[in-house]
Amino acid sequence: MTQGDYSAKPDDALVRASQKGDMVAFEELVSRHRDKVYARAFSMMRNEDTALDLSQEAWVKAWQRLAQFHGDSSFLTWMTRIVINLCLDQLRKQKRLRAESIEQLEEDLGGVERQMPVITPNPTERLERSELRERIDRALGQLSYEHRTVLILHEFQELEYKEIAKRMECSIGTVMSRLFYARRKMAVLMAGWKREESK
Amino acid sequence: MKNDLALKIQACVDNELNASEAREVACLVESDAEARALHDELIAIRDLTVANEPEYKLPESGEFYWSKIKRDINSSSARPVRESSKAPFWSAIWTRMVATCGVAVGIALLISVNRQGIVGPQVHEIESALDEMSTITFHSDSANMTVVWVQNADFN
Repeated sequence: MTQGDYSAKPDDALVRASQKGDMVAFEELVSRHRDKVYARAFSMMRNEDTALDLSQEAWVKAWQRLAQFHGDSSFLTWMTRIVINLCLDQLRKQKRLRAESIEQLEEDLGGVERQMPVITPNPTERLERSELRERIDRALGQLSYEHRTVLILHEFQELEYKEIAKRMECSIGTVMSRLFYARRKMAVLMAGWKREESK
Repeated sequence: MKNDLALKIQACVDNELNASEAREVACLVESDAEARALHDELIAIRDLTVANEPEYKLPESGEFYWSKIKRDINSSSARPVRESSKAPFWSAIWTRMVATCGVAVGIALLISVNRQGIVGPQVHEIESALDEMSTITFHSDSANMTVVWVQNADFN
């Protein structure tokens, strides 16, 4: 079978072929989902090289564990779960190697989020979508990894508090607090950029 | 506003409250301007973020990206790490136990036979054929005593 034949097949057929050792079928799966898997790794790690390494490692792990995929979720969801777990492991290793950030200290000491003014809703109206995405990306980049990760898992992966707490090995209360801080900081950053532009 | 109340408003926005708690927060949001402002801000920023997830493109060609994955897959399957092909951990323990028991039974038999006078007093040393164990037996006719020294080969 040629690569062209595979491109017309649905994911589940490619997964079944891959489970039998068909690497061409697996290559097609990589080709279909590599951008999304890489994007999730980059959104969490904020570093191209690390995101490339972790996303590629996720594909290798997926190949080795294909027998464990039974189709309970979509293949992409399963893949995303693998790459997120690798990123979380990496972030935990990095955290052990560095001192706590000032933001983390502030959060622990009582929360700067409560000192932030409440922002008028829709601070970015009339912006083009690409511009909005760029701003959200910039704002995400300014969050600590704990806050960014909770935000990504909740808003983009649509995980519940309980599931996030399990993945991040922390309490539900910590998840709620981090999510609250992350959202408020995003709102403040976005509103700040709007004010700068209107001057 | 108290921190726990702010978090409760957020939990309401995220549909994480039960029906009665959600009603309680809804009443508060209706009656309290500060609570309402926070509630609206949280919804606005959540919706804005969800609807505009940044997109990141792979910074290298798809072929190059795949080539590393393929290389890693091939190298990992080249190295056989199948657990089933490895001897289980208890196998080594079992082998040692059998070896030790075998040596002990052998020694007991020897002593028993020796006492019955079947084996002569000229027997002074016995060497075990087992690789992992070494034994030295010394018999003294005058003292009517047999000393057996059993040693694990690893300690040599």
